[in-house]
Amino acid sequence: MRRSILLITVVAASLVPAANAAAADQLTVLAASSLREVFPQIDGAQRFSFAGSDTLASQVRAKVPADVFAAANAQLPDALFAEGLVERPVVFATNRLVLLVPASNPANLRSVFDLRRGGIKLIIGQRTVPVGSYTRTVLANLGLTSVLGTVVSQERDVAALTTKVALGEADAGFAYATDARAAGDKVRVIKLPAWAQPRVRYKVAVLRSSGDRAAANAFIRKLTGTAGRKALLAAGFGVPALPAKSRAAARR
Amino acid sequence: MQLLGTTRRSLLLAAGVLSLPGVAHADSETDVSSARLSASVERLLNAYWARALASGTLAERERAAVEQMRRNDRAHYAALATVIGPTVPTDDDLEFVFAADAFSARRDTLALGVRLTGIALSAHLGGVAAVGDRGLRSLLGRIAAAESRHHAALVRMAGGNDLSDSLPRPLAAAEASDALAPYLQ
Repeated sequence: MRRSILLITVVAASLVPAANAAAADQLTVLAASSLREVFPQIDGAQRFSFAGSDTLASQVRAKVPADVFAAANAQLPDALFAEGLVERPVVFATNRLVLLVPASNPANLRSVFDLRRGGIKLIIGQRTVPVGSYTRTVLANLGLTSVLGTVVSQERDVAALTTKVALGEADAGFAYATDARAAGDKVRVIKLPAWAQPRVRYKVAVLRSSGDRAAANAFIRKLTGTAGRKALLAAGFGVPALPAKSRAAARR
Repeated sequence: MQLLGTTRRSLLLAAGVLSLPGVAHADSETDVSSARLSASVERLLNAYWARALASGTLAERERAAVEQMRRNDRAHYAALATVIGPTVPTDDDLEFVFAADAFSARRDTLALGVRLTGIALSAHLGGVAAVGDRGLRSLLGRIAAAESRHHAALVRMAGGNDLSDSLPRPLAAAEASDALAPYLQ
């Protein structure tokens, strides 16, 4: 018995430094909510903090300890780059906006143009969060901003929005195509016309305040490399075209 | 969203894109929307012409006509891009989808062209009916007129009767979107 206790103590003691080393090596990645499913698949070893991109950008400005910032738009990382807070951002994914309805589709919506009927309970993202900004763009592109009058709730991030639609708290909500996949059979997807889609580009950057910029850059290389691109595509994202040189290398 | 600010309007008038100076636009959001739809249709047609030319299914004389129609549609897109500005849809924003056998034989190539130019004509006519700005309405009308000639040319090549449709039907944005959905994603 005493030998067993001693053994456990010795093993536990030997694990502590290893665990500490793992924690020290772990990057903190601030990532847009819409990346909550795919990022842990690409690199499960890191610590992720998912929220609306605007909230995360505020955290970067507040110097919250973190290493990487991945946003659901280009504007926020570009602005942080201009402020000297992050290294030059790169595009790593694209997405599409869709109209989500609960699986039961209580308002019997078949097209985004049906929102003009009135009396539809609509959820959108807040103006400051990318999905909210994209929603306003797509509605303007469609000539449908009048439907903003039927909005019953504006959400801080797309995860909350998707959950509310899945729970039937609204008749419809604008989200990313990838969120529809994540919600599974709890929601139905109504595609939006391609000609009205906004340019949804995700950008990622290393924080200049990162304690391990080399590891943070390695994370971005993983994200933009073959495995990362495959995982993003499998999750329903688009990926940017490879430069000609990379395409040639990929073919070899 | 402002479609035609004073500066842009002046520029367009100078460029001859708009021919009616000083005309107010009644509903600029609808105008932008209609222009975006028409511009996207022109990109789809451009992709179709490229595939048709590359297919090797067309006779030499037909290829010359298709090349001219492609130049016309590029000019339409350029005019619409000037109206819309930097947010004009580009090929990077659109995915063009054609069936695997869409260009496998001359008959298939022409049938798809007839279908697409017919949708394009109706979409542009829908824009004519919807927009408030007289300058933009004039531009869409001119594009529709050219597209009508393209449609007729393809119908003739396919052995059909290009005079059978006395009043081509305009498609509202929702209808045009449904018609385009199989090809434009």
